[in-house]
Amino acid sequence: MSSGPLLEIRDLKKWYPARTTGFVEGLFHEQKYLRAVDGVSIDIREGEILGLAGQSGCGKSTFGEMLAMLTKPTEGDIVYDGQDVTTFSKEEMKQYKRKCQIIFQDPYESLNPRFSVGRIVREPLVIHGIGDKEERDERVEKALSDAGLKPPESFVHQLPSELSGGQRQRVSIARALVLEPDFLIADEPVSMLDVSISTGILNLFRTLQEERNLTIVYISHDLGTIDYLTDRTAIMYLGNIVELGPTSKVVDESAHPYTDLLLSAMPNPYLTVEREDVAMGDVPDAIDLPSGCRFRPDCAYATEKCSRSEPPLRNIDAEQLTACFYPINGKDYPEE
Amino acid sequence: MIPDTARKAKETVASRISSNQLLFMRRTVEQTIAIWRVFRKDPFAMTSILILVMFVLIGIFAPVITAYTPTQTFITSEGAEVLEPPSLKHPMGTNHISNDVFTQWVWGTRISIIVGLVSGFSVFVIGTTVGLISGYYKGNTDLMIMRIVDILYGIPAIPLILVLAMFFGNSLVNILLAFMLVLWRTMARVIRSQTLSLTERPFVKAAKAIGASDGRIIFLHIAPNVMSIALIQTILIVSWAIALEAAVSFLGLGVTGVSWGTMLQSSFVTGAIRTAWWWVIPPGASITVIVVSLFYISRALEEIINPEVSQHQQ
Amino acid sequence: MTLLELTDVSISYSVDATELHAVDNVSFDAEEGEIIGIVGESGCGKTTLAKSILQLLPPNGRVDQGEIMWKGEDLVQLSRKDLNKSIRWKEISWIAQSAMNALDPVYTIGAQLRETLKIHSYDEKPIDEQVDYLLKRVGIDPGRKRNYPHELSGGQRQRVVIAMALALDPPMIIADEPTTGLDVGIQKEILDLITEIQTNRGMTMLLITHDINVVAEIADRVLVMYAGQLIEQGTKQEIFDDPSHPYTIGLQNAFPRLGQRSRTLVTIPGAPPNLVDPPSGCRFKTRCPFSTDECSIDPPLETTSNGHVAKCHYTEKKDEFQEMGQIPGTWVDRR
Repeated sequence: MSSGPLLEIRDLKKWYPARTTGFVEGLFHEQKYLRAVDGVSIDIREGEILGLAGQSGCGKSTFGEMLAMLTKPTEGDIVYDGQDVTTFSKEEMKQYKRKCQIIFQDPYESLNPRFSVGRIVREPLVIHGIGDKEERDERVEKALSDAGLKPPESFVHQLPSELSGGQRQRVSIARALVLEPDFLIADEPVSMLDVSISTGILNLFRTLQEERNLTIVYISHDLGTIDYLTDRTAIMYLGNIVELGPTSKVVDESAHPYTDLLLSAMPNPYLTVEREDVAMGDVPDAIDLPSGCRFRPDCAYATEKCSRSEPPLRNIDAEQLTACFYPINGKDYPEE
Repeated sequence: MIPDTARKAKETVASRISSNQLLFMRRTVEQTIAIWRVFRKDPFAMTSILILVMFVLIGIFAPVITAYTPTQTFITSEGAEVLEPPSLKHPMGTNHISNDVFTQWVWGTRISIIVGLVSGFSVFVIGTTVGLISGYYKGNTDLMIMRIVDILYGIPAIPLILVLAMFFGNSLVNILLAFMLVLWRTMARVIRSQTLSLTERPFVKAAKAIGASDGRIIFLHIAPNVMSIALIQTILIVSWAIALEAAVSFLGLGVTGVSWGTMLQSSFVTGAIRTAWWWVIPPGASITVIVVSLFYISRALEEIINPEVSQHQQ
Repeated sequence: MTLLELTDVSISYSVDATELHAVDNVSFDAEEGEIIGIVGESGCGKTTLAKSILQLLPPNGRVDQGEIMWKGEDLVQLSRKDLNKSIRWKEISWIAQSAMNALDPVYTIGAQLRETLKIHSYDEKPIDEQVDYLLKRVGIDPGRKRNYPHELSGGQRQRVVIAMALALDPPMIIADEPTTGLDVGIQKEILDLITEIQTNRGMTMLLITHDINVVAEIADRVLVMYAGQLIEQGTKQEIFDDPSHPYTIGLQNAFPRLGQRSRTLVTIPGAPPNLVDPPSGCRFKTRCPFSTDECSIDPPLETTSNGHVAKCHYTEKKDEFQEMGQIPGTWVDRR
């Protein structure tokens, strides 16, 4: 393992100007922002599968897109291999894309319907000018094979419409793998697939991690798959990470009330840990944030302190961090 | 051992090449059959295609079909063969200066076909490119381009072309230039709106993620997905252009040669329009028939591209 | 009391020049007050089966054989007009997949509820009163009836859809993938709501989903479908604790379980068969690790315990299968 983390993210933000409700109001009030990602700092370690969990609207997808530099951050740094990716020139950005690839949620929409599978997977090589025709064909077949589409020759000429959802997703994975990236961002890769098919994809991720030391950021709202696949998990709420730690700890010994709430909302016929049955509402808009802790309005344990200041993300032990004044797993912050 | 592996390798390579081409051929054949089936079901579309093919052939083989030239006059000792109804010598009769109407009609067909094809092609290229760029980049680029399109929309086609013809003189080339200047507006709008929705789709994001340049994305990824709409729109433009040429020529500012429009213009100006039906019907009917045929063809194409559109049930 | 009885229902679609046999000989009953979960992968025929009950099949689909008896009346034989008048919404309601996105954006939710009531000639109470009542029942403040769909959250919109289904207080509701694609928080909301309504009114419910965990939360009985056939049926307890069909066993082991992360998940190799030309014999045969030559004969529905049936020749070996099914090595691609 190398010395430092693969990626260092410092105070990453993405703010979208929120549409003001009226012209007049816009004149007299200051511009409001939708704070999709609001100051996230995290180290991503080489060779790990990091889970990023949360409900829709928490900012996890936006964060993933910023890591891949598909969306430009409003503020903050992403340091990869000693360089700040957010300041890259167009050419450097292109090189960065060889290192970092992304897979999207919708298997039906992430492939150009008019391209054959072979062309789709070959394109990254063409764009980056890698290899000659023979080499490219070889690499395409290897990528398809690694993604589980065997025999690759039988898939190369197919059109996406001729494949099932699971197969299409594997094509997306092959496309991501063909450049042999260092890390992969998977944004809800299995949520549109039948559960029995998604297992194969999850196992594939694990194999890729083991065989290639591939680092994977796995974004999902389904804690079941996250629990199965990931080494560490970060729970996001309204643009912030509220809990971070080894997945087993986050799931079995949750420190943040929101994590507990999220876990109890999952339909689970094999309940091994008893949880309180609490009602869960929709996630509020990230525009008018409450004072103090963002989760305070929905938190069963909130006190006055929680409305006065925002709890920072801090270690409660060597591996687990949480952003709450009153961690619920019985642990306390070391300093206090 | 070695010859065996070599043979196997050769076989695999051969099978790969042939399977690639085979698949492509098979797909093309399948698609052609599918298109053919749609047209066969629609008698209007079938007839329209045949009519169109007929006109194109007439235009191409104009010198072969006609015995005379469009401006040839027929003055015999007995007098000029003016305004004669159809006869064996003049299957469509003659006009007011003894030109053979049939010959004029055939050469006029050629003009109309040229106008249609050139206008269609140029509008296709200009309009699609502008629409793609506008829809992809959005923001200020889009704003500027759309303002230009709006201005062009604000100006009705015929007066604008008349003005341009007045300035630049009337000839086939100038007419075509005027058309190209104006007619791309609809295409740009249509393609732009299609592009706007396509750029939001994940496969475009995926293309950016693998490092594709903007140009690559616009022309290799998005463009193929707008081709079908562009094609339909082009057909409509072709029919528009043909009718427009006739209108402009009818108003006297059209081509300097002989076209359907000029035929109608002459017949109108000389007052023969009321009596010399053999002079009026060929060009008039032809324009109508071509425009209607193109319409039916575009409908059939729509059906091919969007089969659900016609399935009106439940 | 048995409200719904399906007997030997087969449904097929005409596609191009061929027939797709989407549902093959399915029979089951629904008792009053039960929640029945129909589970299966996409393409297994569950939605087709459900749609056939209310004659919601597209024009190219039809019930080839079988009876769908609702309170003694065969719904297949009923004319569309009579079905509309006496069954749809009055007796049986339907909640479509992603219905919350199908709310008309230009009408207020109050107006849409009112329309539902008007169309079905509701006359028991003044319509506005009923609208308020329905909104309250699904947990929405009646004051919001002047809101447009986009002014409500996703969860609230789904509640409105449920309110619409409840409009005439029908004895049965069919819900097609009511939580698929929904955020986990909203999913819980909806499931809680459904459970609450069902308990209060003793309603019968058919819940169609591919997510076995959802079914596990709220269903009383579970029907497992595969390739157009009903391959296992039992109470929730039986299906989860004692799966008797190899497919069900495979499914159980393919789902991650929260908190049991060291479990290795299995992947069932292969894909469901083509339903245009379905294979003879057991349809799961090519993917089943336990299949033998005998499986070329169509297996009967064997009873393993009272009411628990599985369509397999070897139900007596289920304990062995359950054990072996947990090992990924069992599920090897046999092609």
